[in-house]
Amino acid sequence: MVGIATGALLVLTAVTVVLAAVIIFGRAARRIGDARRARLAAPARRALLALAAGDDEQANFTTLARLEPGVWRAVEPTAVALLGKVRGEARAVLVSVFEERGSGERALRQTRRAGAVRRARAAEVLGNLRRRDAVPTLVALLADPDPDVRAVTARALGRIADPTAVPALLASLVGPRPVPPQAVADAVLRIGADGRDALVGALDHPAELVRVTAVEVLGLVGAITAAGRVIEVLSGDASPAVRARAAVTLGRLGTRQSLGPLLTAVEPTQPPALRAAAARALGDLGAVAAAPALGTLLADPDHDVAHAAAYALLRMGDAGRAALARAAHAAPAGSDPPVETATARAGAYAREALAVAELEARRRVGAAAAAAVR
Amino acid sequence: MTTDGVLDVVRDVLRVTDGVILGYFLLINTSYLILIALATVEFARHVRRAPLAGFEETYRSPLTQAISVVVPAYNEEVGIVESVQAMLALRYPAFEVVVVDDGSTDATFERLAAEFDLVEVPRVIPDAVPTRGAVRSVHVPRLRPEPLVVVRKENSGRADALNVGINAARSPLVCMVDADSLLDPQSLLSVAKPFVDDPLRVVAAGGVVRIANGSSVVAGRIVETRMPRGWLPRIQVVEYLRAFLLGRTGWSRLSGLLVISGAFGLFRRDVLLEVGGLDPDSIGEDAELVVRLHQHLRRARRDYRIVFVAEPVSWTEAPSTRSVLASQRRRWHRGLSEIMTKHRRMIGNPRYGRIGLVALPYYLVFELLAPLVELAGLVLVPLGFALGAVDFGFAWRFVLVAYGYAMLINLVALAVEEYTFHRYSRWRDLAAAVAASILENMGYRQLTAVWRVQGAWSALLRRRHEWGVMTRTGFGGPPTSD
Repeated sequence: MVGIATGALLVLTAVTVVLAAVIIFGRAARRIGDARRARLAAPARRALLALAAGDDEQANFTTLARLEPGVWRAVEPTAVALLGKVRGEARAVLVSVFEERGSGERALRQTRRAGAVRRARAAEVLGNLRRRDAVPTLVALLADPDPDVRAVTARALGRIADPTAVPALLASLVGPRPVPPQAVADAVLRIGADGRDALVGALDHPAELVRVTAVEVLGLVGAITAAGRVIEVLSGDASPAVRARAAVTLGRLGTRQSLGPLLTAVEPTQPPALRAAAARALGDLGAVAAAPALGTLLADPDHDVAHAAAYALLRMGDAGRAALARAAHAAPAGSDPPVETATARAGAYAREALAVAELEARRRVGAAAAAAVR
Repeated sequence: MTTDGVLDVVRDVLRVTDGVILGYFLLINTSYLILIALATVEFARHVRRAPLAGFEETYRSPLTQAISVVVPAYNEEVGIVESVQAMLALRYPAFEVVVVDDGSTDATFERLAAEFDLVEVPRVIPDAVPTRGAVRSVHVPRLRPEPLVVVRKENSGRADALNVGINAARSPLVCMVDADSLLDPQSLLSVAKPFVDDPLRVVAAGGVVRIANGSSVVAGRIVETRMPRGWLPRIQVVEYLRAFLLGRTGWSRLSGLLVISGAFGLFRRDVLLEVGGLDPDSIGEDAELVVRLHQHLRRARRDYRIVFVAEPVSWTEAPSTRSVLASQRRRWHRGLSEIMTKHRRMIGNPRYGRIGLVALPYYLVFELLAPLVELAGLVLVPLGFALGAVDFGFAWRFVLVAYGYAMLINLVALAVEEYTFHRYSRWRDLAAAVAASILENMGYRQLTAVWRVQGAWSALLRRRHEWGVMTRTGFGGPPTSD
């Protein structure tokens, strides 16, 4: 019996010692590796930073292009990080360092290799190098089995900014291997107005997510010529979410023809989320003609609608503020909370908006005074 | 029956009971090992892919969803200003900080008012979620541009304060953070990543909570991670690592996450409104909320995900005295008992999928009952040995399975930490962590088992809630050379 106990204790001790050794070895190995990489990278890092600063570009290019592979591996993470930060000539020289070292070609090959992280890194490199010839490869990679690869690829296509990729990006939102909507929207946004036609075309896509994304990006890229089509979406799309996004987009585009459709969209028969979005859009439009309708919405039972109406009125200048002031004076201040009658509700939202406006005015004055002192 | 006959029966009962207890410890420790293995896979994936996360794009994107950071505060005058300053300096493109002063009797509000030059505003707070404590006033900075809102209300408890914060929040995502939490600058970007990657399905994301005792803090930020000085918080570091970081990551990988710590969790506001916010009558309101979210979304047959994010770190001060630790553990276990009672119909119910069939039964058997079995083992195994019901070999096996195996699991957890996040850089911290891994099983575990049983007992008796007082000693200052 004592033998069993001793044996078990020995086994436990042995496993403990092995685990302790694993921990200690891991830490020691990491530290030695870090120190080695830092030592190797130090001279190249200086060249890299000098190149980014625009100093002696040819000499630094030569230094970096001729680095030993081990040294380049040590400094590559810094180089990749810099690629995303520098602009102009420094960026062009840095890109040529990568190309000279064969990074672009290697990345193209690695998009087809096993290992999701390797493929994602390859896509990232191609995006950073703005390799237009890699667009077909990257478009294919949007259907990669790994979700991270797909997201990184969408971002890479956004950096390359080739408008031919927009239909594929939008199509990648749906299907068995979807790309995150924000990654797609950001990518299409970076491509900008050149992707307008594909975005307008996507407004007829059967998938709600594609239409939401397309209509949102149209607003962010300022596609004023698409306003008419967006108004049709606001009025006729089957999805309340798409219609609400269309309202936001019309606010961003700021065309006068949006006023009527947006006023229709705030009517009580419409879904609350659409009404709130349309009220905010009317504020973005700044059309004084919307003030009476928004003044009525201050008493709306839906908080988001009433709140959006109050802040929209603030953006309409004197007419909006007058409407807010009338609503505020019609209800005594003690009535909120609780906000029970329609007049009291309107008064409460109006007072909040006016108070915020006053504070913002004070802050502007304060900031101006502080700037003057500086 | 003769005395010998009675003794024989007692021995037989003890033999069976001791065998069951041994089996229980074998199962519970093996389950920890499985969770750690699952977490290791997740960590390895996370660490390799961290450079590809696209945080910079998320930060610059006009499409990134805004977050309202809701901070309930009750008598937090010691650190509230530093905490709020640190939260306002978080790296995220669009967020507001909503501090809900839950009727503090100290100078919590006055400190905030003085620092941020607060001025009262007539802000309308909707009653989207039912609340109990009436809102007295709402304040914002007079001149400073920080997105800060301070809501003063009657005292009604943490859960109700959070509900008021949810109502006051104006962003689609709500991050619940304790007033004494210190957040890493990148924490919002990290915890929001699941919402960016899978916005249609992710409804909640929990973040890692680690212990800040002993670490160096500058301007509300952890600048150097160190092990605490006392053994009590040191053991808790190892415990948090095993149970919270690795355990919850493992459960997340199994799609069975039941707890998102109130110290740091991000939720979709619309879903919070659907379930009516937090339960103000629950003492374990954080976990109860997550269980209720599962219940609601499973019943509605919605495709959803509740996930745990390994990277973002919220740091909190762990109890450094026995009395405060006892109060905390009683409260936690009482909360768990109440949740299990309230949601008993979900346990073993196939309607709730993995939550009903795996996670909740696991929590019932290996969390709720664990302290009872722990104490039973402490009494019954020595008794069985004394009465000759079990032999020396059994006693050894028991010690090895119940304690030796647990120590090994702690060491495995430390090894995983060392190979992934390696937050503790000093060798002496590593040595302290190894020692704490062993010491946890020599007194700490047994003491906490007693407190946890007391917590479950008070839930059984339906005693009045005791919130307890967390005596704060504050965080460490800037790094020193020692």
